[in-house]
Amino acid sequence: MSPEEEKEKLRELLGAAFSEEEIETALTLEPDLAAAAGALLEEFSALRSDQVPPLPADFAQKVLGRLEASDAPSPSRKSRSFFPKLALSSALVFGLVAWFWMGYFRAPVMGPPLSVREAVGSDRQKVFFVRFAIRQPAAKQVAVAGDFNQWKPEALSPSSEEEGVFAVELPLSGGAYSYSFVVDGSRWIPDPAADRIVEDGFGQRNSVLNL
Amino acid sequence: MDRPKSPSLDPDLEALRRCRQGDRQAFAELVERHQNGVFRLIHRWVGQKERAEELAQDVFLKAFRDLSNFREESKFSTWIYQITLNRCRDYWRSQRRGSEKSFVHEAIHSQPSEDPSPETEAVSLGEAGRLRQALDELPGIYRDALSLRYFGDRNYEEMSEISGEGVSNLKMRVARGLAQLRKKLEELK
Repeated sequence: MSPEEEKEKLRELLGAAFSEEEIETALTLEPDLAAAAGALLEEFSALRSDQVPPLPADFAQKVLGRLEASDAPSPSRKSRSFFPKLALSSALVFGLVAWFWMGYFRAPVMGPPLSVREAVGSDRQKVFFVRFAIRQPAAKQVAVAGDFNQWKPEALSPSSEEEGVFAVELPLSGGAYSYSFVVDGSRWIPDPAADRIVEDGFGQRNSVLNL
Repeated sequence: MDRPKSPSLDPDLEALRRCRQGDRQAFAELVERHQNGVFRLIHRWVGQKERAEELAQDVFLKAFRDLSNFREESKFSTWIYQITLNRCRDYWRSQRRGSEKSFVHEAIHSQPSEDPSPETEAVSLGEAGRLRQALDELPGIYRDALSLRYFGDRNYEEMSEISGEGVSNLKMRVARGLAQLRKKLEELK
């Protein structure tokens, strides 16, 4: 396939809303994307070949029916649920104390700076490519969680260039974001390279990023 | 030029307020307004009508039960699609763990394999399964953008409405997500 044909496939894959300038930006970021566009189009076409069937006309009423069915609580279940709740509360208190201790007394290992690259779309909106990075030589896995991903930890990859550093680059819109790193799935630590570190009111310290 | 709509004129928020006052028919209105988009997205992830319908019902039930947590700082559509994307992801992962058997899997295998490896699962569920698996393994920021665009058939303006992110940002997420998806698909071949 010629480079021009590959680019045509890429236009089709990305959609008509992409301007030529945005396609060039995408190719600067991902130079191999044009060559892969044809295969990706085929993958999605195969998925879309299965027509989505219509929902039954009474779908909303079925949802209401399930709501009403789940409204009546079982009294016996309620009475039995006290001790598990007590155990759960105790575990929660214990967990919070342990988490507070770990967050407070285990200082984060200083790491690389936060780097931000800016790009401007055809609609003049700025996109910020933020590289979140932290040095954690003893960690098996590191993730980042914050306002930008609904606090669902996003895995960082071990850097091939810097020993013990984990990093990920995410495109974000302008704004202020709170976030934190999650080390080995349980230890939440703020980013030492962040603009600011603030208390979140629940005993945890979050980093703040202003874009 | 259209003037921006006042939040009080947003039909979803109007229905939500009536819903909070105990009007369940208002919730039915919300369901009817979003059910097709939610179902389409789930069906592309699940590939089976009955299961997709059940999961779509789960999404709306969860939304109803968590109404008190919705603070109207974002659109209802943003919230309902986030619940939908989470449910799709949870379902897909439970499939891979084998704890929630799909009808497709049961139809193919009379005895479901124990803890199938990702590779085995991809082969047993065919090409569409491989694509879903590759998508699931992407960072969430890319997975959600690609899900809305290619599974939910949303244009960038609609994606922006749903996610609250800027159009340019979403375009770059789609482009970078596609590049990562290609690498994942190569790994799964």
